[in-house]
Amino acid sequence: MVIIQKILDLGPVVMLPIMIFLLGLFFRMKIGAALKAGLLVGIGFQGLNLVVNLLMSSISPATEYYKAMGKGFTTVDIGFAAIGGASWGVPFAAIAVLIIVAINIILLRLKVTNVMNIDIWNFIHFLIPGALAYALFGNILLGLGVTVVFGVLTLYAAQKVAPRWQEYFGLEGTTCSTFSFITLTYPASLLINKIIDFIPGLNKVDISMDKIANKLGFFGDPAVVGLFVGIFLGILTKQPWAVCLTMAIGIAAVLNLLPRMVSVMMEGLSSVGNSVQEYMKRKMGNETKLNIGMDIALSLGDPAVITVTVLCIPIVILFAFIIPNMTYFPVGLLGAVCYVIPMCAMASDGNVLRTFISSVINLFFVVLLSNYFAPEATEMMKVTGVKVSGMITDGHFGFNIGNIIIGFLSKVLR
Amino acid sequence: MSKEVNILVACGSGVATSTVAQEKVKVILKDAHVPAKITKSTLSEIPSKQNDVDLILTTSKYNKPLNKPVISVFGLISGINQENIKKQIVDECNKILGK
Repeated sequence: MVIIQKILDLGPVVMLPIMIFLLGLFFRMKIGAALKAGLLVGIGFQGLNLVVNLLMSSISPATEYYKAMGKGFTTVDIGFAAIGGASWGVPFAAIAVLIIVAINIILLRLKVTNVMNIDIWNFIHFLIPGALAYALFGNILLGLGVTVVFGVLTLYAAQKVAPRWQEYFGLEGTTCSTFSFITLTYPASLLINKIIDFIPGLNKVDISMDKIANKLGFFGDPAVVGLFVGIFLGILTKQPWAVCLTMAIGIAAVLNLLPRMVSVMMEGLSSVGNSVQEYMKRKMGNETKLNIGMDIALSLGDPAVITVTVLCIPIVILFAFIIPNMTYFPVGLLGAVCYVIPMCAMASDGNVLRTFISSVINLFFVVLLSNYFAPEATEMMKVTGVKVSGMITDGHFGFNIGNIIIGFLSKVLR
Repeated sequence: MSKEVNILVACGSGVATSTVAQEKVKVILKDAHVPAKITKSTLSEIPSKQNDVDLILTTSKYNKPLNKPVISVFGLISGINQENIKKQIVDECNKILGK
């Protein structure tokens, strides 16, 4: 028992590869393949830690400036890749995956659902609120329970959006199982569209925003955005030129490198995901009408989505300055803006103006709430094994309804 | 006739789904004995990267006109219609290699 405790004490950097290895073996992977999967996930996680540290140090001149002033951008927005990667570091991650997959299979056999969710990376949408509950209420079983509940709820929501998803994006045989966007962004956008239906004039109109989007085209490249954000923040906080440039390259590096670290984790996770898919197929027998749960990223090729994403990036930056008591500059969120848009487009049936209005409103609340829940977000990181200095936050605390509910409960009950 | 096929695998975010696709494409090409070099990118980077590659594989529907052949490999991720897509990829690669 002492040995197990000692291994647990080593933290996620060691635990995660072991857990993924065991998970792989459970889903009938060959030993070599399971080992490689575990290793890659651990390496990616390690890389994530490195890049998050780089973000902390690159942005510190700005955060120090604001801390000295006692107000302003004292919180760091680390982005969904960091928060998501970190959430895989909670002790109950592997068990949660097993339980959720088991329940999925049972529900499929009982024909209660027709959704097979094999999108393993996006289990972060369940793991993050689970980690949050664990961190805020100190109860590991609660964390596991929360994770499993959202893992199962997503099947229900995915089934509901399946027909529309297939019809609008043309992705046959699949549905979107990315929890946050199908449970919150989509219903919210439907509501906004209903309201627009009642506004005379606006309800009939659409405009082409391609020309504006083309002029703002460079906002599509994260490294370039990072460069500008760094210089901008440096000038804003009165740093000497040398510091501005260092900040710029640092943040550009982070925005470019963070997704690559997730990529490495994904190499490991995707091979486990394949085994999960094969395993589920075997347990299911020859099932005909299944909807495969997919990552919302697959819908990003839609023209309305691309146009509106580019338009929303400068608007999100604007929010940082017009929302009162903003404590963070949305560095990480800029990389996640694109994920909020597809559900808005789907609800607006491709009408670019309505997609834009709906996206702006959704994003406003995302920024507002991730600012409000920054303290809770920072506490969550403590149970994940990813070290951060000072306060952090991420878009997940604004668009993930699990986090919003738990965050409010925490503010009220603690 | 080129020695190896330069392939661009593009997805919406360049993060998760393109990695899944890339790994599957690697296995397909290895089994078919097709030498290839694979790079990843986001969908928005395709127009600027297309000149450096011979073949573009996208994980979702991509509608803008391009100079190079494009194959949608969405089925590799959803598991639907995989055999057909494998054949398309291998055939296109062999065409590029001049076989």
